[in-house]
Amino acid sequence: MKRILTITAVASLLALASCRPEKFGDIVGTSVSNITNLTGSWKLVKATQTDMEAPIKNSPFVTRDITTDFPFADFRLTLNSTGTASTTFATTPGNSPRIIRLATGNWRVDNADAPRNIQFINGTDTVRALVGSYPTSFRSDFSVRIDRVNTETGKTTMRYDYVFAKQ
Amino acid sequence: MKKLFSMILAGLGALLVNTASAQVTFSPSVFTAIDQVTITVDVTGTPMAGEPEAYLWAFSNAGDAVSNGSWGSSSIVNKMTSAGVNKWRYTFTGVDFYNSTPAALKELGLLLKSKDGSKQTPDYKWFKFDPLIFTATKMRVFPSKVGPDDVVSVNFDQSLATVVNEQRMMPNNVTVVLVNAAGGTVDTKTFPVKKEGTIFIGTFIPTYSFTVPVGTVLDKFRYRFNGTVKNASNVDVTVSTEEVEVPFSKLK
Repeated sequence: MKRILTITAVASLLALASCRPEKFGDIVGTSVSNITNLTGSWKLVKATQTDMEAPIKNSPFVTRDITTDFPFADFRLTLNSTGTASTTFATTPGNSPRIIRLATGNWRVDNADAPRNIQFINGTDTVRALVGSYPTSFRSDFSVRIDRVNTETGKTTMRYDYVFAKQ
Repeated sequence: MKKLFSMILAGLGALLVNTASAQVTFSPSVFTAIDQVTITVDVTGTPMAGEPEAYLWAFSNAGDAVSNGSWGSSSIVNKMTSAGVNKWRYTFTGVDFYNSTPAALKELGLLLKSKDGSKQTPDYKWFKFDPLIFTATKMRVFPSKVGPDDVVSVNFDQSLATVVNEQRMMPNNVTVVLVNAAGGTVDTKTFPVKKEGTIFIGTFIPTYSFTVPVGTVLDKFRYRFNGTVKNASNVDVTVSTEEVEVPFSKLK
């Protein structure tokens, strides 16, 4: 009887020891850095301009697609990283208007898991923008939103939305 | 010869108007009738130069400012604050200052005077109030407030034209003149237009599409659409719309 009990106990321990967590991929709530998704060479594919005061004034002229008004398609943005840490960036405007006035520098986001604010920094000069969307399993592009604030009133009067596609 | 003389006179007239406008600045540069706005006037070169005090005499399309007082004795309410040598400042809100409604107030003008009216500047006019509610207009800028670094789309809605030539013309391009803070012309360029329904649109970026010398402060721009109409002999004649002036807002 004692022998049977011992064998049962050993068998149970072996059975428990063989348990392994199944791999379901990333679980909701788990930290997933998007720095690597943003890393790479990007090409500007769409540019729109929004009059933020138009809805208040009940104007029908709210947003305008300006992509083909200027050679925006020439604009390139390169974001570099080391592992999950953002490092340097470079912009190559070609004939495009400089939508990011800095040529080189460092870039960083406020939250690597779910970036909302992105900063392009060169010395003491910083260009601040919002990340409208970022690359995921479902989409390969990302968009940057730049607000234009009236320095005399403090109000955001205009907004540019730029969509980038990976090169 | 007579024509040349007239053109020179017209040019000088325009220069004088520009110089006069350049002496008046608003903060914010674009304002509605319900916004508080601070006006600064430089009276250098006018009969008011060197005066120890100045009073604002303001008028608008909807009537005079309620606090003007009488010409021979300005109201103390309109006494201006010194903003440096020969510079005077005053802050007001359109609807209160003119005791009118935002819908009624379209534009304003002003002059500076001594309290007893023995000295005065020329009239400075007209400065537009930014409308509170969108109203379709013949000439329009998108977005409504733009800075020198922004994409600017100027629009001419031909369906709203009331002048015969503007109604009949086939717009080909738009001429844009950049103006600096001193009222001088920085650069002039002509851009092609595209048509969307009854609206003709020209697009440019001041600091990208023009040659702007380093250090130049762009204050405003003027634009007019150019096109052709057939005359009685069925020959194309070049005509232009009215010219519209748009101040740049300070955006960052």
